[in-house]
Amino acid sequence: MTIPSTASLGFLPRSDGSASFSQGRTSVIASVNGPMEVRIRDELPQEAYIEVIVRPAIGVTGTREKYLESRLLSALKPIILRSNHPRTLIQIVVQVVQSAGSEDNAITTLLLLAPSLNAAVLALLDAGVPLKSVLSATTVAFLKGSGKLIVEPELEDLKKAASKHVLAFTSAGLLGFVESEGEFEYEDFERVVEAGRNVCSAGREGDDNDTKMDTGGQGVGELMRKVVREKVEKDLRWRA
Amino acid sequence: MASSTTPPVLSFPPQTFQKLSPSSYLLRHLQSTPPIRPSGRSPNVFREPTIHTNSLSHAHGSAVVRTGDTAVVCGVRGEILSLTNGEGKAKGGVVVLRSSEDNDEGFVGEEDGGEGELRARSLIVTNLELGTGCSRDYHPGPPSDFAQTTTSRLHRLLLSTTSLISPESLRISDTHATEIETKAYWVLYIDILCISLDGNILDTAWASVIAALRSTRLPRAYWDADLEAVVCDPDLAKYTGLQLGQLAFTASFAVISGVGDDGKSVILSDPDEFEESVCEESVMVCIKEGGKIARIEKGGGLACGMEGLGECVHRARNRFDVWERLVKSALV
Repeated sequence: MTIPSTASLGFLPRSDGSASFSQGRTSVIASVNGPMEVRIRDELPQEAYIEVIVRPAIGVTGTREKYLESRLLSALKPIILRSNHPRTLIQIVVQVVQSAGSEDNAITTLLLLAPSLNAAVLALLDAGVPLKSVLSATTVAFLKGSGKLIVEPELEDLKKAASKHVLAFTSAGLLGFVESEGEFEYEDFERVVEAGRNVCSAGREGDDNDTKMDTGGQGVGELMRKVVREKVEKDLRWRA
Repeated sequence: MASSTTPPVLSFPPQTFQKLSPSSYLLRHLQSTPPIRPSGRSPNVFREPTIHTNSLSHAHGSAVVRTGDTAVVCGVRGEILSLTNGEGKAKGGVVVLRSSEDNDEGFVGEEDGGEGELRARSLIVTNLELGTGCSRDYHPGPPSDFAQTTTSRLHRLLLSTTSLISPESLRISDTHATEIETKAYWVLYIDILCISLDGNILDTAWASVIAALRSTRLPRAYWDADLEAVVCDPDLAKYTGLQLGQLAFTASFAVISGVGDDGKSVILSDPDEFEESVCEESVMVCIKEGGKIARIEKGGGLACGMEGLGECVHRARNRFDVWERLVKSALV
């Protein structure tokens, strides 16, 4: 029994952009502020300085959060058109609302990555920060023995998995971010990437209704696309 | 003089070019045939590493690893974590547990490779420190985000990716009792000091951790039922090494795009500090014994696709052989 992923946009009135994303039992909120004034120390003459802050559900920021921050930054930095806003700061705050397990281990940290990334991208869209492309991320587990793939696995699936992968793709299907752990061959990895790409890519313009029916359920890419479309429709109601 | 009348030509040495426009400086190098990096290496060439072990006399194990101008010292020290508090009848007082869910039954399932037990009792403590003035970007003060992130990456590699250390090798048990009971643990403090930083600290630091752990020799510790305490045998001949799992080594890459007219990207093995500052995209591959992949990390850009990752895995496997030979020859 899997819990369907959900996302929502623009519910924090005081930040420039906000979004929430939940996948399985993991739930996060992201907010984006910027472009705004930057600390002198961080100012970059030719581009915007991007800051990612991860706040844990319980307790204070530790090395685990620092690690998540650096991974999120590495995924988000290349998709933001930083040169559009030189000498400014774009701040992305990710607040963990609920994590899949209470243990502070590698698997729960891994499960936080994809939802955080999705929430951050949605919040950037909501804030109107210029982006090169839209990333969507998912988690894939590769099971021992059978070689079965589970997309968006639960904590229990991951415990039994031979390898765990967090992948992010642009809407055009380019691989933007990888975090894979476990023991696997390169051929397995290729299969995992293919499975991830299917879930993450949001059908291109024009083939909205026909071709993507064969994927069955709703992929992350399409969910994100749907949420943004609904938001835009709602915001532009006055023009109708 | 006659020559002073000629109009001055705008020209400057390569070092000035490098400072003025670092990314085009690197691109010009890579556009030459054959492509060559500012350091004189080809894009697929790693720096030659050297390893010295057991140079610190007060640590239980240590290693100095150097690749190019990146040099780190790693020291491993074992200390005893007693699970029983106090002497005599007061034993069994305090048990150190980090999380409410972890209890002794939870450890029986070894499906996580003992990660739960190692984590819950913090049996492995890693710390990376950047030495004063180790690089141009060094700022005095509390550990930078970079140092904290690297520490966290090393910790993850050690505990979850490679399961190098099994909790059994750290347990100190009461062997005379009818039922074997863990009375204490060895806690390994792994401290890494970066003396000089010229890019790619992760590969070098990780190799130093492996070499230091392999050189670690702990005294024989046993539970003395009469004293109700853990006793260490001072006899040097009875010091034993750790039982370590499969070897694994990391290889890091930087990716720069837009080298050719067609926007081709080039993968640089083992980037130095200058290349790291210019290239935003990075890939890390960790290879285990037998050529299996233990970890892939990629971020910072979209230029490196599947073929690029395949190339990285191939280079990382070759790099694994180099490290393996070196570590095995350093520790006979």
